[in-house]
Amino acid sequence: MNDTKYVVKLDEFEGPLDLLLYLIHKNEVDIFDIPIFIITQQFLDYLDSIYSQGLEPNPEFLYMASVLVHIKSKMLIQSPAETEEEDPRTEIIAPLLDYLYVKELSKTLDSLDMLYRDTFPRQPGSFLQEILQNTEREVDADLTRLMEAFKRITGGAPHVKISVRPPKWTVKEKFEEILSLRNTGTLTLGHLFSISSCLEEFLVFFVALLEVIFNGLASVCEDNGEIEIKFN
Amino acid sequence: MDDKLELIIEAIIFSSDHPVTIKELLSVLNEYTYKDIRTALENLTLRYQTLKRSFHLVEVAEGYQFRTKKEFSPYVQKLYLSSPYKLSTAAMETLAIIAYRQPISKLEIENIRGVDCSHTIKVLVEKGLVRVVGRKDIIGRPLLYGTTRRFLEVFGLKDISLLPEVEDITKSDTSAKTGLESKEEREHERID
Repeated sequence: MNDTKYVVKLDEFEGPLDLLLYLIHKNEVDIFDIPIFIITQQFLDYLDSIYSQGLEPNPEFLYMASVLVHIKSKMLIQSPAETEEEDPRTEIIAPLLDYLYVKELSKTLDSLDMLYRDTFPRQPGSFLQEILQNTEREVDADLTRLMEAFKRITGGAPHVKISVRPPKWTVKEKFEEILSLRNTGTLTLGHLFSISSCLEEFLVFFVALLEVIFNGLASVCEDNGEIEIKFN
Repeated sequence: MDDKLELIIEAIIFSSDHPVTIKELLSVLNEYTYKDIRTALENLTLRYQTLKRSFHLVEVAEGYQFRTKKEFSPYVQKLYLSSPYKLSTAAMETLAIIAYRQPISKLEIENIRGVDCSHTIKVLVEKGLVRVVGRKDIIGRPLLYGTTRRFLEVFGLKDISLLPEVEDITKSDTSAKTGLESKEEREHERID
């Protein structure tokens, strides 16, 4: 036998809540009055069927199974006369209703005309794409993109052992240094990296650059993968 | 009515590879006002509606774009895609939660769906449909997710407030059974 693991999407169910809703619907019962004994049994039967195929159900299913069994046992010890006590089933009703509503939202979203599924725009020609790619475009910058750029540049840098000592560089210094570079032609993030003696110094540069941008003194553009710093 | 303006706008939108915004139109049509352009766009939209062609002019993500009508998608799709562009049930559910309840954290999404959603969220981020919009101000400062401009483009929405409203069965009608039956059935029961 080989050890290759096959990821099989055997569950027609998105999760334990989906399975519960299916069982409730199949048994044609009231979501506010779930026959917990029947539903728990069928839920466990489903888990058994997964085990019988030599698979393990997701932990979420096991957790729900334990919740159901717990509710079942609570209902067993609760005498029918004690109506004061809260129905143990309340615990699962709210999440079920919420999930049911989300399914409704999902259906609504799915019913919209989806691009490249239900509707198609005009396709730009390859020549036009070439022209567009060569022109600079303002980065639709968010934190993730900036972090990616940072990772890309520092990818080859040696691993630095961190020890605590007084800072060699301050953001304020680097802030001034970046500004002093404003007349030296094109300034890129790569250039800042090349003049940094180590990763730590570059890190301070990077934070200082964010500070410069934040203060509206410069903006960044992406040109063929290079992050260019433009002073205002 | 200014026919010329309509034709100019038509030419710009026709040749564009993205939804054209009024702002973009204004930047090239200095001699016209915002209102002129807005009116021309409305007329143009209406004109294409009455033309009964295979495409129409739609307003998406605050811009205008020509798009084919749904009934022709099976044919157009064949030309461009080997398999239809679609989202899995898991992705659609997660996207719906993010769209309707944004900004929302991963944990909150997982609480609703009852399953781990890390992979699904990652796929949606890769597809550019959702993005990190901030952090929640609680312990651990979890990331908060929201929909993108691309989301509006893909689902043909002018802006996020135009997401179709969905009646909350769990709040509006506490006598709802599984919510899977039709409304008539439920109403019938109440009368009984």
